[in-house]
Amino acid sequence: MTRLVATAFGAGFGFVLAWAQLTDPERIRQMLLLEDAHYYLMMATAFAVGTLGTRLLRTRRAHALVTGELVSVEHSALERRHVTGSILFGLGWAVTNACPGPIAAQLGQGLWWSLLTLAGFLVGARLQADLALRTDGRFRFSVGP
Amino acid sequence: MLADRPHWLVSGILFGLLVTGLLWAINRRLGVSGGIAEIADRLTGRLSSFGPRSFFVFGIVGGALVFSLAGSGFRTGDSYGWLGQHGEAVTAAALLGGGLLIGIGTRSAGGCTSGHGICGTALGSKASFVATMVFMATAIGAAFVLDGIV
Repeated sequence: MTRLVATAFGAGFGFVLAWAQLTDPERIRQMLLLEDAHYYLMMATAFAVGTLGTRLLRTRRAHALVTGELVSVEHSALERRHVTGSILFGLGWAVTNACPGPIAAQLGQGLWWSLLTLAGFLVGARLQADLALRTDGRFRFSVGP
Repeated sequence: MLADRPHWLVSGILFGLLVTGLLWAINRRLGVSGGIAEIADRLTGRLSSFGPRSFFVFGIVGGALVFSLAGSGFRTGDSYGWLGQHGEAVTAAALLGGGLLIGIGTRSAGGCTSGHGICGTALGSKASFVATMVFMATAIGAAFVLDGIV
């Protein structure tokens, strides 16, 4: 059931990504070259709505509708990997003009070039996990913010 | 209507509602890079099954497919924007290499534009604010450098 719900929300997310033309590398390039404020305003709006919504859930001590547990959020403390990892990600984003959501959505729109970005991603993600193990936690990874 | 980009208020509100809704429904954070990392682990035998985060990613592919069916059609023959102007070999190499950086980077940082940038910040995570500042600044800087030298 959890997987079904996750799929449905993913579908909604993918639909909006495609509709907002975030799957168009030229749009992302204009954003990063500061020629177009559209996506910055969109992110700020999403942040505001998400802050309001998730805060309401937590202050009202809401229980998850499907799974029943208390809605709860735990944060990982700020670590060096958040900075170093984000630098690598930022470089990759500027080169490909696609971040992970749009990579998946490009695939759904039949932009086959994204298969290459995805292949690189899969190799990189697996490589990172192996490095994290081999360096005994010094090169750490986590799953989620 | 689907042929035009919606107003940023519309897409922004929808993304904010999706973040809230996913937390409300199954107590999960919205994020994409963790799901693709999970798919990598499953495909290489590190995991024995696909979890909800993988299914979120499968959903994205499906949602974009539905959009193409309902909206402006598929983009099968498109070249890849600005990179495409530099030829197919350059595009392929850049996307593979860039994808590799995104895979290593987002897994180290524990999130991407969605997990940190939209969801983590909305949840008030300090690490997410820092990560978002860093990848935004890096991507903007790198885009200007690339624009200048290529």
